[in-house]
Amino acid sequence: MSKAKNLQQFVISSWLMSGLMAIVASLLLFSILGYYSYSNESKISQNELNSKAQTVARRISGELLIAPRGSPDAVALQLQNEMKLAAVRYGSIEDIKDIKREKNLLYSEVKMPFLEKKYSVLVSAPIVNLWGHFNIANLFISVCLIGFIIGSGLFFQTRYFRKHLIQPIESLVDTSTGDRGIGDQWPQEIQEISRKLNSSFQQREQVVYNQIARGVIHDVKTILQSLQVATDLASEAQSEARLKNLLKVSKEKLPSLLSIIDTTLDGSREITVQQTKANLIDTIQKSINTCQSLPVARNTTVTIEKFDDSLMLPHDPMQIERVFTNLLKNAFESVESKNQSRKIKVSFNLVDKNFIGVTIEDSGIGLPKQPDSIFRLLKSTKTHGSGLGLLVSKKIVEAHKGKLVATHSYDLGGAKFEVKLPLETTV
Amino acid sequence: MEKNRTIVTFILTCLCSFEAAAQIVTPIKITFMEALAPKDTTSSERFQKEYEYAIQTAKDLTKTKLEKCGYVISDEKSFYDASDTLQALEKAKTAQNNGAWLIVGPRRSNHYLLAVKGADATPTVSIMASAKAVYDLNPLHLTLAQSNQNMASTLARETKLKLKSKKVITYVSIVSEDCVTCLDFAKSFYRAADKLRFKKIEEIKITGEQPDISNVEILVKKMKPDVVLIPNYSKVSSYLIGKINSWNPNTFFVGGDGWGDNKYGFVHHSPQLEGASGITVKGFPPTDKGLAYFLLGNEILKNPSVAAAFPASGSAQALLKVIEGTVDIVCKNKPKDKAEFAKIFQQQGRKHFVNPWGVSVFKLSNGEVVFDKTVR
Repeated sequence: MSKAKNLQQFVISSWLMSGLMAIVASLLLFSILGYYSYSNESKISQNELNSKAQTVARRISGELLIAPRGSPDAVALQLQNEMKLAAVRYGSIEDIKDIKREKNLLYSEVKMPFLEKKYSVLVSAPIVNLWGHFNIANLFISVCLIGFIIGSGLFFQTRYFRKHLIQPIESLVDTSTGDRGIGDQWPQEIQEISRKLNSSFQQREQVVYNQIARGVIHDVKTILQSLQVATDLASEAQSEARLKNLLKVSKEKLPSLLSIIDTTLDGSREITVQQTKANLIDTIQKSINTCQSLPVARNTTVTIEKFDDSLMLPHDPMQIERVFTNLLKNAFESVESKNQSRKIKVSFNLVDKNFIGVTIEDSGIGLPKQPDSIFRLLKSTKTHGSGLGLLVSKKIVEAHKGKLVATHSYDLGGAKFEVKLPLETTV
Repeated sequence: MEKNRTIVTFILTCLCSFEAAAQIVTPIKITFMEALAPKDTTSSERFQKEYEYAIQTAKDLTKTKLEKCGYVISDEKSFYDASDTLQALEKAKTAQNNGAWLIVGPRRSNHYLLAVKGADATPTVSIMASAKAVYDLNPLHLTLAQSNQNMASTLARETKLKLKSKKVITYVSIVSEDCVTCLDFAKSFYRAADKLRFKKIEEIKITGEQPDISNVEILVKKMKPDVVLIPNYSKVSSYLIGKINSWNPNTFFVGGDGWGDNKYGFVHHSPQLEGASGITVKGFPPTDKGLAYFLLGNEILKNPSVAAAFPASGSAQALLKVIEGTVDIVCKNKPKDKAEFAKIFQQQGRKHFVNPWGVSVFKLSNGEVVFDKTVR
């Protein structure tokens, strides 16, 4: 769940980054377009305008000098269009001086060559507004263009990932079971990974078989052997007292056998709980009593720290008892290897207003570096452990909408399991 | 014996001095001025090369005769940017200050009139300026062009002949307002057309080489004139003929001497003018016919290789004519300096510098401008 969330965030952040890049690139392109447009328009400096005015003055002067045959008006109009000028005016020096200048125009006044004393010419051009070129149209073009480029990039990237990453992985998953061989169409590296996965899968199958054989089947076999011995002895029973003792053995062993079978079955199915309001302390006490009767419980001190004698909350006493029994049994087995300081502590605490926590700590051999890994299927630290006990316990607690957390015990130096159960009915 | 030796020495010295005196030649400084525009084939670099070739040919052909007369042509070429008309005035002024005896002026009337302003005391001859104002100048400034009046009259008469089936010929004129000679030609044509009872629908004035002619389009499509007069320079004429012909392919186009010929200009072999028909007039016939009119021309025609290489433009023929006329004046009158030359030029110039070719009519047919006939 957590991984999926991260991947989702990764995808979202990729898109956000792409969007950010698109905005930056759009602004950059917008600036370039605006500046390009500005540079290419009839941008005119005073020097350029003066130069154009000189040309205009020469041409018009040429027409005026051949008066009345010349056509200065026509030439003025033609030059105005050709040179993209706002206006070209010519006339006597006084008349030109009197012409009112507008603020948004650039002007250049030049005396006519060969007619300097009589005529001058006044040309004007619009002052180019830089900001006028950074308009909505340019912005729209920039955003569309960059959006298209980046969108296309993401589209093709997604397709690429789909084709070259996700599909090969899916194919690997299919082929890793060995049911289907990987085709030659994939790159050499992918084929190699496929072969390794396939090999790993086969090894895993062997591990599973070994684990079951070592754990569940061993336990079942041991009990069955006891029962067989008891049955054999019962058939040869010489006294009623002896027969009763042998039946007692069968009576004690059969629930254990059923328990192993239930646990094995519970590992592979969904657990349903039937909650009733009951005293949680009683439930735990039953588990403690059960475990203390086991041979491994000898020489081990169990301390209980409770803040109240009664702790009524909704739970399935039978299932929760299984959980605590499993946790306590593990704790007893763990501390058994220690010669000194065999301690188990059971404590209660209110996690918050909604949850109560029951902690079982021991001074045993402790947990692996990654405590959570012990909840995985077939993961057991014990020689003949099935690896199902903790998995089933976790499932039972989660069926109560609670949590089972494994950590290191700093007080006793071994393992620490905390069962958090809701105070109100949740199922 | 000693006395005899002295006499012989004296005689020999006198003879040597006389021969030395006889070998002194007077340079006739002639400035050839012309406007160039790289994008206009009629004023291109190729035109410049042929222009210079014609001058050199004329100089070569007159060299011996001039030397016998005691003269040599010292020529200077002065080319300038056609878009800067005022340079005509400045260049002419410079030529005059440098002591030019004669300025062979620019072809365009506007430019020539400005050149005259810059060199009013120097004899000038334009090889093609045909505006009325050019003919109105004093006898120190002449032109070899046919007058617009002659050309326009011929054009009107030939138009009438071509469209003789029409009782009343209707026409529209489109004239470049910034071209003095075009305006003059148009006026001359109106007068000649009036006499022949043409009906003028409208005169439209334009400026520039690709003017806005939306009003022309409306008019042509609505009125469908029989004739459109386009007395403008080559580039704008080609543009107008192409556009109008696409709107009304039956239009008959008539023009002045600005359309160009089969070597220079934009009308001949212009792809958009293939279906257009019309006539135009010029002051010069094709080269082979034009050369035959005068002495230098005949000299060229005698030598087939020179004749083949000689430029085919009217300008080249006119340059030969100018140099031949100049040589005739100096050899006949032996002027000592520019002042004497100018005086003689003023008196006799009109005899030597006159168009001898009449008016040549060219047809625009199947996209080609081809010579039709000469009218005198």
